[in-house]
Amino acid sequence: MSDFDLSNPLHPERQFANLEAQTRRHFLRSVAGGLGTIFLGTMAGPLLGQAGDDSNAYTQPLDLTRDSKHPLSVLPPQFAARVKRVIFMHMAGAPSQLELFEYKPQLVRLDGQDCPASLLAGKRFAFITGVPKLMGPQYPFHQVGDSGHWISDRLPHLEKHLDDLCFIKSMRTDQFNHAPAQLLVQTGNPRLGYPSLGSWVVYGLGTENQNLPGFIVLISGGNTPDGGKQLWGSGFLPSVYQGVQCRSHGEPVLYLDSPSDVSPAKRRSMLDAIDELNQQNYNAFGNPETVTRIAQYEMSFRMQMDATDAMDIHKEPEAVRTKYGSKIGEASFANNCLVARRLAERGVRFIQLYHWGWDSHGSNAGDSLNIGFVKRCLEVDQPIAALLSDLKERGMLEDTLIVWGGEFGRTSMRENRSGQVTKFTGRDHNPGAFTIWLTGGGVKPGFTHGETDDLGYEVAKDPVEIRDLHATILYLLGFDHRKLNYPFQGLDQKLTSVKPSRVVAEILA
Amino acid sequence: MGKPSVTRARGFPTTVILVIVTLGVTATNWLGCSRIPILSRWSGTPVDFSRDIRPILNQNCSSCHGGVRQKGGVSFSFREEALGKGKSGRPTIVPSDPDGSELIKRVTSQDPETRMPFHANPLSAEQITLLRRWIEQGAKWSDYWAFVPPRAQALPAVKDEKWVHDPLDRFILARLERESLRPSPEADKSALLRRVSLDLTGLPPTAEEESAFRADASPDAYDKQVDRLLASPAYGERWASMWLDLARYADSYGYEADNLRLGVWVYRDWVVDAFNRNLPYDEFVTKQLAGDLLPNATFEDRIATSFHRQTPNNQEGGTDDEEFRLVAVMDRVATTWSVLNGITMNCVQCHSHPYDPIRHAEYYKSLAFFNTSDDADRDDDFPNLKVPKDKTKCTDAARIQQEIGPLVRRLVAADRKLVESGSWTNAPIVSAAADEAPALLDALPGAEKYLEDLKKDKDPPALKKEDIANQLEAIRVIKSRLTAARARGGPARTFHLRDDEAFADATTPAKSVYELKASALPSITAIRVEVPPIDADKARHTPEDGFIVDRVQAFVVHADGKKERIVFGRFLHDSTENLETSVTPEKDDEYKAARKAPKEVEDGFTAVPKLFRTRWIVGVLAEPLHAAASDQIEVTLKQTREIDYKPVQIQRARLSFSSDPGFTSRIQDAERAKDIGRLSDLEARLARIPSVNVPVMSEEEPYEKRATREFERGNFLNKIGPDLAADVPGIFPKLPAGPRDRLTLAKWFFSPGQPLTARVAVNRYWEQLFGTGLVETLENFGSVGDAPSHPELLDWLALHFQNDLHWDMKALLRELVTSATYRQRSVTTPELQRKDPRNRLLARGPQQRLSAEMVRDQALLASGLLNRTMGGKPVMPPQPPGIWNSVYNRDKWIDAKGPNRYRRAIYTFVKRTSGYPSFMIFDGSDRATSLPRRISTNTPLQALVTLNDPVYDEAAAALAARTMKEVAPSGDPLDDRLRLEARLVLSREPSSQELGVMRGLYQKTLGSSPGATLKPASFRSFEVSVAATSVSRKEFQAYKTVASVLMNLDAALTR
Repeated sequence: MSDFDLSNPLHPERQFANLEAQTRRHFLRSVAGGLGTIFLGTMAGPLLGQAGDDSNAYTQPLDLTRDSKHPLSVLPPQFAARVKRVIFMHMAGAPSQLELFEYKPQLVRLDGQDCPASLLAGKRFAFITGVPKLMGPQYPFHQVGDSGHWISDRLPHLEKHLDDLCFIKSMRTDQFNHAPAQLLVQTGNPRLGYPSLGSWVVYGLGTENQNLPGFIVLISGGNTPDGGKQLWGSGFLPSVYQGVQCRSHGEPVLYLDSPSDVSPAKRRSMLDAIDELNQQNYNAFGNPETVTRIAQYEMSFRMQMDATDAMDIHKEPEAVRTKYGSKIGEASFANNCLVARRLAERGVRFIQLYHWGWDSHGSNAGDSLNIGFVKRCLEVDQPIAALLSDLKERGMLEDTLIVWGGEFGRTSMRENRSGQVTKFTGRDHNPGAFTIWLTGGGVKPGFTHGETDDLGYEVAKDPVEIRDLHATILYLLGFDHRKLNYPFQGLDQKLTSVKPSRVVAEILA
Repeated sequence: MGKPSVTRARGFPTTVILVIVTLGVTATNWLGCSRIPILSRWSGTPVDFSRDIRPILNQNCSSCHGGVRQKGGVSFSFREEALGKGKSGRPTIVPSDPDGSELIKRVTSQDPETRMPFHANPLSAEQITLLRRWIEQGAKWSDYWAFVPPRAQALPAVKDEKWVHDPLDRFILARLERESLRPSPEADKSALLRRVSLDLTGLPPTAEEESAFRADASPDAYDKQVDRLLASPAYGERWASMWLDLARYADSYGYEADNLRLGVWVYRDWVVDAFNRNLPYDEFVTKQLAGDLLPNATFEDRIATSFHRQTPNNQEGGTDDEEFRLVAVMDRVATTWSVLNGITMNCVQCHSHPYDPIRHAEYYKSLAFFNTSDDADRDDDFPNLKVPKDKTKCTDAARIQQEIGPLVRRLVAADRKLVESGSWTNAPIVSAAADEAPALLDALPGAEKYLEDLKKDKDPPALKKEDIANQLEAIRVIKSRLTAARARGGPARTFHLRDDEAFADATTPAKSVYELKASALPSITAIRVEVPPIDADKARHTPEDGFIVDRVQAFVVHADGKKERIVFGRFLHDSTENLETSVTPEKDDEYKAARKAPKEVEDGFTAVPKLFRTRWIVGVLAEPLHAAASDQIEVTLKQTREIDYKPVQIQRARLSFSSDPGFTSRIQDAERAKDIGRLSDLEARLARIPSVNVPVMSEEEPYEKRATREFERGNFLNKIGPDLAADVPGIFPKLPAGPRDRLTLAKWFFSPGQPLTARVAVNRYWEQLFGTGLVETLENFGSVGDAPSHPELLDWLALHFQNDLHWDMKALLRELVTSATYRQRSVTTPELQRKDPRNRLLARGPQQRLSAEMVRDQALLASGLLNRTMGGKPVMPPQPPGIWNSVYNRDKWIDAKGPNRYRRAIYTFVKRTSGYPSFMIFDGSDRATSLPRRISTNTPLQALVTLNDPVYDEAAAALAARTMKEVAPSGDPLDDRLRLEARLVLSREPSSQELGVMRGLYQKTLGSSPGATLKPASFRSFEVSVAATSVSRKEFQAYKTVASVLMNLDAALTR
């Protein structure tokens, strides 16, 4: 047997939790002062290699060791980052690309015809059985802007920003049920128990504002997304990296408000007493954890003030609220977009918006393309447009990455649940192809990557896997996805799992 | 070997990389100062593969040349691979010839494009020397220490004999002496009692317990406390908290709707009870892995198997149940190996193990142990035991279910034997079709009745409206399809006939009646309908879709077209499940009535959710049929139901007839009739007892066992290779003879030569008490896990636990907590902080943050609110509104108003998609997967919990009220009351300095204007009780403020 060795670099989890030593990157930061600014540049990182070949590019290993008193302290990225923060809008339930951005004239022509057997062979569907009918777009499409991108009439506000958006039309997944597919999008794995994208990012970069959580989740649409809170869980990463769900109803952060009989002045005296008693305890036992505890309580006090302020949209001028379509007191997507901007301004690293209700099967009014889908579009269109223009006005769009999308696509066929024609129109889940868009720093505006076949059913050109999207997002944040590791159960775990994945260099500006 | 790098040309900021490298070296040297001085790994000879070489290979080589990838055809997983030739044709390692070994050439190459590790920092000169010397010495391979059984260890000699209390102390002290460190003196009594009370029972000592211990001057005072704590029922609750993380226990299914598993708490109670009964660890585990397979398995043994039914169940509509059945099976494999042996078996799901010598196929051999259980991700969570809501009915329910199982098995075995040995004549199918109208007509009344029931429902109006709308739509669909079917006139689908069998041409509608016709035999006593898979050989391991037939009927069709009903006396079933579904008291009555006047009795058969093998049903005619040569027999099968929103189809069917009188006599057999009667009676009695379902493991009958093959790269749809027999990986001792089932596997884990079970177990206990395991990576004892801090102690403890203590968990804990090592003071010094900041060498006592559960339980106990009721349904203490809102799910969190508001943490409802927020913030597990180790973190959110969560606010108020009541207001009670508050929370007297701070805060609060009105209703009672002591509300507020501060102190949050 060998003696254990505290310096074993395979186990930063242990070091993370306990070593008080400075790390290489801390060192870098402390000697260089403003060095951090050079990390946000325009130089390309070293990862733009061939698809699937890990050997043709490499970066130095990362050291994510932190002082345990500051688990969320800012660490510089591995190489030139293009963006500082991410706002990820997950449309839970999977919006139909064929009613929004994917215009397929052939599908218009074939509307109502039996689906050819060749499209059904070997396919697993959630609900379609037998021979469904092909279904053309349910809303008229037109071309817009310099990019000449096709868009339906459902998103008139977003339409004005179309030349800023970068589309990936060739997303695909191997999961066709909501919970596993959402888990795959958010954690890189369809099973429970893995850290979310936001957790990885905050683990890698820390967050700029220590008085606010670094990874904040906002929910609208009346339901938690199908994948549940594991979608922003920290999996095997320490729980300090889990997403913190904030709310537009009640306390913005759980337990943020003091009990009704505790005034701010009283809270201050309580914290002073806690501080003093903890100091005495430290003097008696000398445990450095006690010092951490003191810092923790001070931070909680600042968080009480700052988080309340950040989430308070009363503080926005009425004109701004009107622009978003925000109504105070609602758990709406509009309010969440407005809050997202306020959080982004305050240095929150990863902001995740979930909007539930896009599962347009046609099995009832709410889940239909004729009714529910129309409402969902109305709920998101204006706020997204307002957020984009707000960020642009503030010069923040260039260092923010915005991602919009669902967990899979929808079929080119009309859903015929149990072999029956439903009262409302709808489409089934389609893991074979879906559309997402990105905008902000580092991605090409007015650009489209990838193509689907004539029916918008499967990827025809340049497929992008979820793990490629993850690699690309991490790249834009300045990370080699293969090096953002955490040792667990014998593997250097990473977001992009063990399958080959690549940065989608084609979309990078 | 890879291609040259092209990346720099793309503009990587070269200057930055140089800066990083240069500074990196400097900073790494800095790190050295915080290391523990370790024995030089490089000075001794000979080179030890496990100690010296394996770490170099794992860290630098195995990710490209190991179990996952073998770049250039080179792998270091097994010796024979490492000694082989790579794609270059050159041998990687030539024993005794370093210069002839490609390995050495590559690691010393000056060319960056051939030097290994490829495009990474080169190996150090020290490492290269080690590799050379190792090859020179013959490149001897040895098993990693963890795969070698623990070795007997002599107790080390120590200088300071006086300090030693238990043998284990010698190992700790010897190491300290080697490092020239001295152990710390024993902690003071209060601190020690607090530590051991929280460690053993999860609760701090009460003020009385603390006083009693301080007053007890007897030499065995501490031992008496330990005995008291080990005997306390709270012991089981505390240790169950640990085990339930490993067992991924939750009160919900997980995934999308995350519906509630309402009876699963019965298993939680079993765990608490097992700890309290001090079930030895081997029995404790064996019952959980294979309690159902034990000879004479009791009802409780079967409940214990719920351990492996804690896997999530995916009830999302449109999921493939086979996919999620296998997800659960793989989870069981991973959990079993991780919990018992610290082996990361899930790594081997897609490929050979990246580091440890476990091959890909060996994973699937391990999986085979778990691949033959009855559960199948079904929405009803089958198989379940029914546990009565009323405790007094438990014995009765247990007895009934214990009788049903063997009875059903006996009946089916006899029926199967008869069917298999009986003579059958194949009946070539002459026509087959599926008709929709009759099935729709059948379904309509039921659908309409359900609508009426919904209208009478007491659901909230909005939900009711939604339900009614959905049902109206369902009825509309039935009616419109009926109209269409009638207009069509003919059958909905036809079949084609091949080799006398019927095969479906296309999918049939969800509700259909299949009609199969064949020529009659002159005499028929029984009709058999078989539904084989299309590809029977493949289906054994990769099943086809299942089916549900609600009703089987048969007719004689005479030459003139006249049809006559055939009356079945009974049906014989192919499986216990089909028999059990078919035997109900109602059906029994129907059969009895039908015997008097021939009448239809509905009976059917299913393959839910999947078809692994040919399923059949045999209808035995009430009286033998004598048919004319021109007669035909028509058999109809009615299908009306769906599995996961998809119509399930019969793809293939065949018929056979028998004229064997054995069938007629079988259904008339008095014994069988008695058994069936008994069964229906038992089912009726069980149905009358209101119960909850506890999911349990049960094993497929021998005739239905699934086959296991290797999944190609982990893909369950693509299996390769031959059938695999269940087995353990080759690096472990052999499995004993006997059935290759879960029970044999469970026993194997506790066999004498097993290298890891005892080590992993003692290590887990060590971690719970000392904060860090002897092997820090509890979850990984494999070769990239951590080496033990005290390898000899680990082996000694493992053998001691196994051989001397016979897996007695309380006895082990007693030894650990009575050791001198455990009892040390936890004060640290600058010197210790520098030499051993993490206290791995234990020159001082452990100090740990309380677990999420302890934080809550302590506050409740100190304040006097704690309700000590044990067991039962999970409870809902207050949590902020709007936390529970899973999709397609109507469950509500309703804050408990009564005593259930203050139960111990372990009884709090665990919903997988929405953990109890304050536990999650304190690093609790979401129970989605087995969690081997909680890692403590610090976030301001934790402070917000203990400052603001109503639970702690109420506790602070109650603590204030309690101290005001317990210390009479005569004289000046202030100091006494503050002192009592501190004692209750910190388990010790406050120092005068501390008391000063508390007094200051009290007076400051008293002086300031009183806060807003106390809002929550639960506070009223304290106000009343406080009012009774005739003190002012202001004073109460001030005491409450101090109480809240106390509960937020570092001293309160640690043990």
